Amino acid sequence: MTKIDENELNRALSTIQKVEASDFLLTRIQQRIRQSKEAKVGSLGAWSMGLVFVLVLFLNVKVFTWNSTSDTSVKSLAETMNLIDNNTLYH
Amino acid sequence: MNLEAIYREHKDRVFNLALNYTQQVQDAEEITQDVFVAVYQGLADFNHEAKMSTWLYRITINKSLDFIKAKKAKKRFAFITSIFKENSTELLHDYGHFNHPGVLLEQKENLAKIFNALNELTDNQKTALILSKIEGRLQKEVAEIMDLSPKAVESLITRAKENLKNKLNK
Repeated sequence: MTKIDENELNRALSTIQKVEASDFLLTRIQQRIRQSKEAKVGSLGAWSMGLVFVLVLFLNVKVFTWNSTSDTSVKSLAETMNLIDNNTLYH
Repeated sequence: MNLEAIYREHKDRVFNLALNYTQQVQDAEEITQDVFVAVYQGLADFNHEAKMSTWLYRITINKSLDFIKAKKAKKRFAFITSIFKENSTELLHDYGHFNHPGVLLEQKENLAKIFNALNELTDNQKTALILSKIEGRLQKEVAEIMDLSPKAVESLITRAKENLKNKLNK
């Protein structure tokens, strides 16, 4: 290639012609948008399931800890009312 | 304005700009898809401060530059992995060659060398040159697209042309 000056550069670049984009690209674009929407819904479902699991776990822990404290609350209630907290009638 | 209408009005502009960055039809088609998916996702937030065409130019430029960077990174990685398939001399990573359909046959060799040199310019110089000399945008329009002053664009184009000539005339 011979030495190139600015005029030659401008001339060469100006010969580049516009090309028409394929109409098929629109179908591909719409498909990609649909796929990204489906992926979003899928991940939303997974998050919802995760949240439900955490809620169930939390409720189970709450019930468990409530059961273990309920004995002491019965004891303190019996004390304040001067009641015996067991079935022993004779000391 | 819905996506299909925007696509029909601007598809050639986006495709040709991507083609001038990549010089490969397949790559330009992939970038075009990326651009219009991004347009769809960003349409609700588009505040019409800039023209639709300016907005599309900016997205196309960013997507094209990102695509080129990713492709270069893949090329570097290809040298680390085995470049031949097992029991075959066929290249696993074939990056193709100059395939710009807008280039006339008699100009192909010349323009292949010009684009080769253009690909070595900095992102801003490359963008300024493509927008002004190939896309035919006025300097004021290039400045708006690149969010620079007209003087800065003029300086970029001057430096880009100098660098291009130096690389071609080595």
